[in-house]
Amino acid sequence: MTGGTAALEMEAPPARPPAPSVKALSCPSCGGTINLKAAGYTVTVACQYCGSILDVASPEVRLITEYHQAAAELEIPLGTRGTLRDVEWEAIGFVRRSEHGAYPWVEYLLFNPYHGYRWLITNGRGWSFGEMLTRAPDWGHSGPALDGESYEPFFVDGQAQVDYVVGEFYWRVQVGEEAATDDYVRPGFMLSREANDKEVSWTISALLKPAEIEQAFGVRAPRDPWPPLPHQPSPYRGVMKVGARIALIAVGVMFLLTLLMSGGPSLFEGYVPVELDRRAQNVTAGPIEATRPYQLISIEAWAPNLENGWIDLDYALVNRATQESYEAYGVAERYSGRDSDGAWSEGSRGATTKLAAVPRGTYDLVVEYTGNGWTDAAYGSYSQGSTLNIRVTRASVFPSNFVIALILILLPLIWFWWKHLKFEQARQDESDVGRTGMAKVFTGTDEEED
Amino acid sequence: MDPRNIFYSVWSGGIGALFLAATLFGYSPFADGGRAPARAGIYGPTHK
Repeated sequence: MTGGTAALEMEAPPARPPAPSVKALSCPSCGGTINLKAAGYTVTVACQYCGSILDVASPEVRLITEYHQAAAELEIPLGTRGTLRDVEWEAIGFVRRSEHGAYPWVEYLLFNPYHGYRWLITNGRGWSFGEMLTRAPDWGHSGPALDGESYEPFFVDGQAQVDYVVGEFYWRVQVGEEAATDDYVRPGFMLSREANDKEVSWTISALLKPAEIEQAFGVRAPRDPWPPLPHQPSPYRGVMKVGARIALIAVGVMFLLTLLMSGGPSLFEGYVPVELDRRAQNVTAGPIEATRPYQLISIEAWAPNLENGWIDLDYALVNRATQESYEAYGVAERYSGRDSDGAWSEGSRGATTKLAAVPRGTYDLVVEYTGNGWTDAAYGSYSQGSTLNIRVTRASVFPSNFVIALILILLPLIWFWWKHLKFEQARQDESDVGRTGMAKVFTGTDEEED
Repeated sequence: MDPRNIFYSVWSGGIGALFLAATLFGYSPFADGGRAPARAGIYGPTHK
């Protein structure tokens, strides 16, 4: 857990304080020389040699706690300077904190004489850059809001304690010091509330990119911590946003193409009588001129009086010059009747058959058709005859092609969304309030049982 | 631009190009019928 900062007993210094002076002290415990970086603001300092906590607020330096424990080997040695977000900061204090020994994290106090204090916070899986607020955030319906941005609760009712401290601070920090904590997050930011019996403080922390902390203080940070940090933005959110625009453009172009190329000319129209007597008949329609290099030929057959019967349709589109034949089968069928539920009907009196990639040429359409009456006694009587209308058109776009293309275009987006969902579920599983939103909606029953 | 978005742009462009090619060629994997094997010297119905 990355906790908030602990600035509990003094008000935050002004944003641009006058440059404080550097002062040298002698540790009353070990005699080591301590350079105060923010003399005038610093209240306590931990000796960098022996770890003793000194009170430097009064002219006569007093020993508060003799802390003869070897100073921690800090990832960022105190006194290290680094430029972060265009400001040079010096690490002047270090505090290690935990929830009564669990979920430890560390905080470095940074100082710049013109910008005041900031915090570098890490739990070993990522670094955040914190600034104490001089105002309390507003309160929305689900959590605090700051500068128009809402924050969701993540860690609630925590109890943070100081486990170790070294360096100088602007409040009287001591080991064992406790504060009640609550943390709220939005992608990239954490808003932390700390309270003790004297005051409440708020700190806003921005998650640093690994390259930022590495360039500033030479510290290596994990690239893709898992599970994600509480305020780690999903790496798929931005990809999905741009991807949605790309998909929209691609689908729009295809849709436009479909519109422009749909509704081809009629190449042939005619009709023949058909009896439902199971007798095969045939008719040849033509000539049919296919003028494009390749085209989709659509054959529509329609029997308006068909009832309780079906018509088998065998088509052969034959090229007059080459005798190449394009064949297909269709059926028009229509049934109706009445049962205990009332009147019913099913099937269609029409059938559309499509022949793909027919090359340029003059064709005849040979139609063999057989009318069949449905003789089951449970059904009503079938019509004795009908007219079979036949219309041949040059269509352009298969709807199935559009659907296939749409699925293929959406497939990567769906995958990104799935990865985003898994990321959010793993991130929210670290929270005290559990999963919310889509992460909760798409929680499987197995996961719920776990 | 994120490499994944570059890949996705290429992917979507490829799908769009295939869709255009299929439209110009009048092709679909779900067409009802297609070219039948050639039968020399026969004119008329060639089915069944």
